Amino acid sequence: MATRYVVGPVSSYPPGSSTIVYPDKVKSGIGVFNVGGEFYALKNTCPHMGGPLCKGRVRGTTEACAKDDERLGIQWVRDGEIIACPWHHWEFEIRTGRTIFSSRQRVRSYPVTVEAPETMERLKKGVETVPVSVEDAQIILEI
Amino acid sequence: MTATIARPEEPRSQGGTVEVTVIDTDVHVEPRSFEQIVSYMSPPWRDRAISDRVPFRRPTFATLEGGGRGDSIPDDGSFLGSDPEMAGRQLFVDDPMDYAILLPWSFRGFTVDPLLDTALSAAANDWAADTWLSKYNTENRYIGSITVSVEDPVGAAREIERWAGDPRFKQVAITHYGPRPFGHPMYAPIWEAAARHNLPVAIHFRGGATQPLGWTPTGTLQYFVEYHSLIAPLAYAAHMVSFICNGVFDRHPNLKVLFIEGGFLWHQPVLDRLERHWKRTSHELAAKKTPREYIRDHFRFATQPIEESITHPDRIATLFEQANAAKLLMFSSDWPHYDFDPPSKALPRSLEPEIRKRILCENAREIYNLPKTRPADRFDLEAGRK
Amino acid sequence: MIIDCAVHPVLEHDELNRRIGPPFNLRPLPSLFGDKYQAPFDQLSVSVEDAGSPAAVARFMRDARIDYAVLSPTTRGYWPNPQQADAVMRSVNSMLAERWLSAVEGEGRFFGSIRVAPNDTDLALREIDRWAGDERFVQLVVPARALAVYGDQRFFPIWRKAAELGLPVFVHDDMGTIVEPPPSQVGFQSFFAEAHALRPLSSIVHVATMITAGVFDRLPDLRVILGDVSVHSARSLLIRTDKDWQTERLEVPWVTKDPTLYMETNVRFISQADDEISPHSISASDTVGGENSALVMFGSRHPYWDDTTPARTFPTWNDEARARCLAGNALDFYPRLAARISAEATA
Repeated sequence: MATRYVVGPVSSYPPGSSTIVYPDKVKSGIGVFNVGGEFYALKNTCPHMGGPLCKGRVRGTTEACAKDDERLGIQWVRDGEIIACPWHHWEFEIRTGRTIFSSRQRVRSYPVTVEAPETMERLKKGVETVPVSVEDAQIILEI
Repeated sequence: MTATIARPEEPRSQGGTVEVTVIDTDVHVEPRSFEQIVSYMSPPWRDRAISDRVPFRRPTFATLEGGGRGDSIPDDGSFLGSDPEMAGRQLFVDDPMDYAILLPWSFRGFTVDPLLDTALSAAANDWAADTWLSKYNTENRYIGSITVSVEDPVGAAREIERWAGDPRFKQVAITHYGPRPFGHPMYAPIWEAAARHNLPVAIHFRGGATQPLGWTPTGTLQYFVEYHSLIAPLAYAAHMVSFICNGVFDRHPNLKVLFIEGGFLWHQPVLDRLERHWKRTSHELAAKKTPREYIRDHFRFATQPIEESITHPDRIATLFEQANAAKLLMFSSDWPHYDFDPPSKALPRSLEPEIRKRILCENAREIYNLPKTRPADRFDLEAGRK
Repeated sequence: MIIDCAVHPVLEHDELNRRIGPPFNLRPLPSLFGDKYQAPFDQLSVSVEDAGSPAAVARFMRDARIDYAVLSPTTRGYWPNPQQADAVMRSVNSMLAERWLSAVEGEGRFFGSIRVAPNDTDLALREIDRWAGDERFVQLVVPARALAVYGDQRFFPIWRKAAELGLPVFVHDDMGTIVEPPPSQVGFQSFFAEAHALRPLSSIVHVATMITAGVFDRLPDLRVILGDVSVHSARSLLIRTDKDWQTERLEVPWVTKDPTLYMETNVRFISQADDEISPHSISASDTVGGENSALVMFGSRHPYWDDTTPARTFPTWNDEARARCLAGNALDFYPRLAARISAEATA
């Protein structure tokens, strides 16, 4: 059965921010990211060599663009949607956990929901940690 | 010349011993700041505003994302690899190794002045002896390298003599670049001194101040990805055949040369090509053995950055086995750099267990003459190894 | 059928120099193999006369049961003076066309190479245009030792033209190079044995830089043949780029797959003497970067000292795999050669 884990109030994690939480069930940690107002959660373990992926830099990435028929151009795209592992710099899409280069490798992702304060009250018993005061919508991880 | 040998304290006994299973042949530690090294320099060097003359960070081919392992950068702004507690935890607890061979990194190859280079090397050795090889080495897990300047072979030999016999130092470390391949007689004093004291020579890839960065036999490279993939093998291949063809090992039958951070698989076809017509091509040489024998008897390679194939992970182990990894390859992590290879995950999964064991431990144990077991210590407790 | 993709005819010295013309022939041509790394033995496997005789080469082919041969003469490396380089290329190409491709002894079994100098892209393009209409020329040849890597944008127009005309680019180490950076990353070696062992590296550098500069992504039809490199040398070094491009994708986002996979689509390798003892050679398939038997094309490298024969080439492979190496891969890779041979078959 899935365990719920309260990450914290939505107001503490504006778009572009992220955090790593360490629930009992996933000791290596889970990164929670606000990308353009939506929350996503990825396991803090890179599928490549096990590096602490979510400690990496959240950024955009490059894309090739044709400048004319001969020369290569480069452009910066998808700012804030990509995370690069602090070991070996493999890049992953935060939304899907997939690598940017085509591969079968994928980082484990977890469902995240945002719950209103009244729902929180009902959930209280089932959650692992409970914030001191419930004044705001909360970010909930399902593990 | 005499050296003051400060023996590290006896490790705090935890009772019991631990089997040695992982030896890391490439770990880079740093001082907290460059001034720390300068404080070990003798006059007149110390009086010459060395900090201004020797840029600690030089522009070079570099990975765009940054060269440090992201989770190894100290919070207080001191240098990567300068925090002994972090090093102890990341090396001996997180994905535990037993011994780390230290190759102090950042203050070599920063000057075009060969005598200053030797003075910097000497200071680096004094600093390492004082810190990582004694004060920070209560558990006796760190093994030192005598850093010498390959640009100043006579000074290098003198520096080897200064430390020879000190049990904290178990090898000589040089950078990879020279104006001629390393079999050239100009480098002879280094090999003589190392062989005299039975010290292996570790060659570490490094863009030093005198190196035409990114130059290949056919022009300059353009991208860091090319530089990182190609430069070290190009240099090491030339050194490997040069050592063999110039008779360095015929003069020093006990000399071992270790190629660090330059890959492994490439050496097999270079060897095949050297070996195929050896009877004819060696006619002008005084070689006593075949290239295959020289490589088996005198060269070892460090794994990191280990060759990987994401598209064919099942096939890469065969290439390692064909290239005699069982005998020639030693594990290395390159901590604390971005391309760190963890011991539990770096090697190809389908390698034979016996070969894996030789790579992770046995080959290096033989080269450095390390024990099969060691006393358990606080890191083992933390890592749950005891 | 056996197609020999690497025969290196030695163009007769005096005639070649006469063709190069004044003022560049006021001095004699440099020696065939250069002056730095003289082998401690004769570097030709036959006499100079036979190496320079179409009749003798045709005889060699008959004896080895070779049906067709692609001829690529040396131009003695990199000429620093661009006008002189151009004069040498023009003379070598015209001498090959007149003395070899038109030789009656060849019986139509010789195919030619257009040699171009990489000093000046415009002159190289002009030289290609001069010969492109002659269907007997089936490839371009460029020296393995250049003053810039072939991924450099300055060479791109040459590669584009080659791809458009269906001319694979054969990279050949001429050995005797007049102007050169040190032939290793760490300076000049001391002995021939060293130079010989390290010879494949420059060509691998070229291919690696073409991959990372997106040359094959921009020109999917471009084909490159390495004349002095075993597939194992290339694979064992390029495999490092397989790992690194994932780490450094930011700087080369046009690279779309593992660099060793470009070998399969765009690169072929002439069989080498080291193939005969390499542990990789035992297997025709199942290795990183494509099947061995799909990547290697037989080349005797006649009349060089380290030449080989069809019989010595991958004897452990099955008949089908050997047939690919001895002819099939060449027919797939050289459009002009395939067209000529199929026209002959239907005539």
